[in-house]
Amino acid sequence: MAELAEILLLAFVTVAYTAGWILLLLGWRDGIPARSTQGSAVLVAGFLAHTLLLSLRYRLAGHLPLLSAFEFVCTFSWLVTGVFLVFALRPRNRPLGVFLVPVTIMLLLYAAMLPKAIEPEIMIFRGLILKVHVATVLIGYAFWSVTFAASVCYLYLERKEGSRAYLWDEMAYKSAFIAFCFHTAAVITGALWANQVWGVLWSWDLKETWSFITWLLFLAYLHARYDREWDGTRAAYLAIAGFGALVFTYVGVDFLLPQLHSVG
Amino acid sequence: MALIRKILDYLVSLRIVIPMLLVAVGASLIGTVLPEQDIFRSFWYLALLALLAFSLLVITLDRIPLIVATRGRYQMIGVATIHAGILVILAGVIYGNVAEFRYQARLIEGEPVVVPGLPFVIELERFEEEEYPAGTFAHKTLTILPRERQDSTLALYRKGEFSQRVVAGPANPVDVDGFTLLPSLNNFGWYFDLIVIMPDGRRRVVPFPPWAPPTIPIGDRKITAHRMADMSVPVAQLFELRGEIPVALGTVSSKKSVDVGGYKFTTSEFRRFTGVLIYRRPQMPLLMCGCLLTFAGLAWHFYHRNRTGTWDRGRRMADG
Repeated sequence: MAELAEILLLAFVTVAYTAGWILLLLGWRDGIPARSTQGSAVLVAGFLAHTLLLSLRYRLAGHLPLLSAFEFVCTFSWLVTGVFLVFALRPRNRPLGVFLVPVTIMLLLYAAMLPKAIEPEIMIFRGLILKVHVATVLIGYAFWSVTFAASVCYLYLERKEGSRAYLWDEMAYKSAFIAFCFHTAAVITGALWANQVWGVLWSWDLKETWSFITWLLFLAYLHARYDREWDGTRAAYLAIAGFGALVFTYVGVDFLLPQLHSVG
Repeated sequence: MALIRKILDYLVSLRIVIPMLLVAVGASLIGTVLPEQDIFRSFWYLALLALLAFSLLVITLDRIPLIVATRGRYQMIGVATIHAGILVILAGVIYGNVAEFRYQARLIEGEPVVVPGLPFVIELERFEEEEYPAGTFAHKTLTILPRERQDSTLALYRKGEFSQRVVAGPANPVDVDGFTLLPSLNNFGWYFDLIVIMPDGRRRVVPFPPWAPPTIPIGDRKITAHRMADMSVPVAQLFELRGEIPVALGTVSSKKSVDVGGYKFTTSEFRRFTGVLIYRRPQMPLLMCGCLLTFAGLAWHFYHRNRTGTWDRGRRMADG
C-alpha cells in the first residue's frame, strides 16, 4: 500500500513539474507574466506533493531519505525545486525555471527507474557526519544546478538586444558562490567521514578525485568571475562544465567506476 | 630582481591562476582515467599542486599591504582569509605527512599485541558481529555484505597491569591517550591453531593464521596445512611437502587427529581475529583551523558582497 502511494506521488510530482514547466515556457516565450505565475503555482503544488513523498519515505524507512540512490535523487530534485521556488519569489527570476525544471524532471524520471526498496541504515552510515556530508553535497548540487540553468539562460539571451542578460550571469555567480561553500563543506565532511570509517582522510579514490575536480572547476569559475577577468560567455561555459563534472561525480563514478563509495 | 618581481606578478595574476586550475583539473581527470599510472603521487602532479600553493601564498602575501592601505580592504579581507585558510590546510597536510603515526595490527582473541610506540598493550577480548536477515540486500550487487553490528571489545594493559576496557567498531573508533583505535570493516575472521602432540607427550601449539599457512618440520619431513571451508568446526587438511609437490596426509579437526610418524596433529577451538588501525594525527588542529578560516572568509566575502551589492557592479555600470 505504502509502495503504491510512493509510486502515485512520484507520478503526480513528475506530471505537476512537467505542467508547471510548460506554463513557464509559454509565459516566457509569449511574454505573459501571468502564465509564469500559474506555472510557479503548479510547481508549488508539485513541491508540496514531493515533500509528502519524502515525509512518507522518512516514516517508512525510519531514517532521513538520503541513503539509497532513489532517496538521494528524490531529495536532490526536491532541493533543486525548493531553491528555484525561492528564486521564483521575484517574478523576474521565473524564466530560470525554463532551464532548471527540466533538470528536476529528468532526475524524477531517473528516480522512477531506480530500485525503491527501503535499506537499513548500515553501520558505516550511522552518525551525524555522514548526514551532514550528504546534506551539504545535495545543497551544493542544488545551487550549482541554478548556476547551470542561469548560465544557459545567459548564453541564450546574451546576443539579444535589451535582454539584460547580465542579470542571469549575476545570479549564476551568486548561486555558484553558495554552491562552492556547500561543496567545500561536503569535501571536508566527506574526509572526516572517510577518516571515521577507513582511517584515512583522503585516499584519491575516484569519488574523492571527482569531487576534487568539481571543486577545482567551481574554484576556476569563481576566479573567472572575480573582477570579471573572464567575460560572461567563457564563465558560463565553465559553469556548464562544472555541472557536467558534478553529474559525473554522482552518476558516472557510481556506475562506471565503482570504488569505496559504493560499499553498502 | 626585476625578473623575480615579474614572475611573482605573473603568478598573482588571474590570467595565470585560472589556466593553472584548469590544468590541475585536466591532470586529475587523467589520473582517474589511468589509475595504473598513479598520477596523484607523481612528481609532475605534486609539482603542479605545489605551484598552485605557491601562487596562493604569493597572492595572499601580496594582498596584505593592500588590505592595510586601501579603502576597499573589507572586500579583500574575505578573499585573503579564504586563501590563508587553504594555506593552513595545506600546511596541515604537509605536517601530517611528517608527523602522523599509523600502524596496522591484527588482533586475535586472547593474544596481547605490542605495537611499537604505543604506551599500552592491546588485547582483543571479544569480537561480536550481527548480520542482517537473509535477503535484506538481495536487490543490490555487493562485494561486501554489510553487518548490522561488528564490535571489538579491547582490553588495554599498561606496565603489565590491566588498565581499561573499550568497545570499538568500524565507523566507531575510540581515542585512547591521543591514539585512535579503528577496527577494520572487512579484515576479520576465524582463527585456530594446529596442536602437535609429540611422541614424548609434550604439546606444541603452532599458530595457523589464514594469511600465513605454517610449515612444520618433523625430522627431515616438512608438513604444511590448508584451512577447509567448514566454519562450524575448525578443520584443516595436512600435506607433506615433497619438493614442490604437496602430498595429502589427511584431515584434522578439534575432534579428529592424524598421526604423522608418531606426531599427533589436531586443532584448537575457533578464535576470532580482526584487523585494527592505530593512528595519531597531530595535524588535525591545524586542518580544523584552516577549515574554520576558509569558512570565516567565505562568510565574510558573501556578507560583504551582499551588503555592498558588488556581485557584478562593473557590469551594472556598463549597462547604465
